Amino acid sequence: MQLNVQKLIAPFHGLNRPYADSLISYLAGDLRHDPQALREAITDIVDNMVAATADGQTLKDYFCDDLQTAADDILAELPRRKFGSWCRYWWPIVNVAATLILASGLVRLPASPRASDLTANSGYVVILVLGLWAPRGFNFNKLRPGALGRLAGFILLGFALSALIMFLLGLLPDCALPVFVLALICVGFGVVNVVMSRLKQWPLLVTAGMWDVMGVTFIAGGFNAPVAVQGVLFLVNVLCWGASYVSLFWVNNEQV
Amino acid sequence: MTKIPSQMLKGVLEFAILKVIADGPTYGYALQTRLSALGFGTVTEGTIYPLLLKLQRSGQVTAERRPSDSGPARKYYSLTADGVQALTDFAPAWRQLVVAMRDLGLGVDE
Repeated sequence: MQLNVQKLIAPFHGLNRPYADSLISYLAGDLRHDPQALREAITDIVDNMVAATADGQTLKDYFCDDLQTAADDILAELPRRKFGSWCRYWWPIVNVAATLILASGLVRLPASPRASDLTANSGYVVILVLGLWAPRGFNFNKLRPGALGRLAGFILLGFALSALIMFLLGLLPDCALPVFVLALICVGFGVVNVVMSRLKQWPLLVTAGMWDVMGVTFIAGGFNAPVAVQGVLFLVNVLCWGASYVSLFWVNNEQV
Repeated sequence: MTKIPSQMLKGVLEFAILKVIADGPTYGYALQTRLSALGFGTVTEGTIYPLLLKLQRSGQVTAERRPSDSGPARKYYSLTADGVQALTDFAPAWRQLVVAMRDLGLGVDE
């Protein structure tokens, strides 16, 4: 279950509300620490802040004058995110990246698809994916040089990584893409989704099913299948992925 | 009341928190008001909460959510055997420091 920041800050009024909003948003946006521990910490802090404001204290006096330092001190004491949790976080993003690459490459449904159909847009997808990992700390009154540095770092990293991927993919021969390779990719993603769905991410089963339907379609009809059928399958797949991703945030109790 | 410099508080606040918890399970906000009432000055939640997390991680306190009469359930902190031991170890060192400061002429008059 995702923490609803708006609901959490609802008990606060006046200047206390933006204060609480800045703190909770900053903490909830952290990806490096264990989501469960982070969620508990935020809940505790909010409970205490509610008690303090009920006693007439302002949050600035009660919590801290230097909000980001205090928030960073709290984060520093939380356990780090485990490898499995990282996988659970990134897998849906990898999923959508793969869907985008496949869809953007094959949307024209070329009669004889080539590797370059898939690699052409990979760099842009990487930028898009990295953009999801948004830098934090811009809603504090005292903007730290670190926040600006992080943003600059993300932009540079995004461009550098996408340029590297484009360069490496450019070294590959632009061979024809047999139908069985496309089918293998789809079935592979389907299998990994089934495995990942065992890690409390049951919505991925839906995505797994759609990947497998895609794979079977490639095998059965290749690119000779009616354009409308393939188009509808792509659309359904993207929609299913979107639904899965949203449910991950709202249902599976993993993301903060 | 004189404001205690934060650097001076840093070394002892952890043990002050342990002692307050040793007096009986308590929750974050009550801990903060108790420390203020004792004369520690305004010790903010932003200072206390990281210390509580640190004490939890080191196994010196445990936390348990309990229902509250006046609002949502609260997380109550209790001392563990390790916490009792940490307080026991701290006491002689603190006494020695107080004696040394008193001998310097900076102690509290008896």
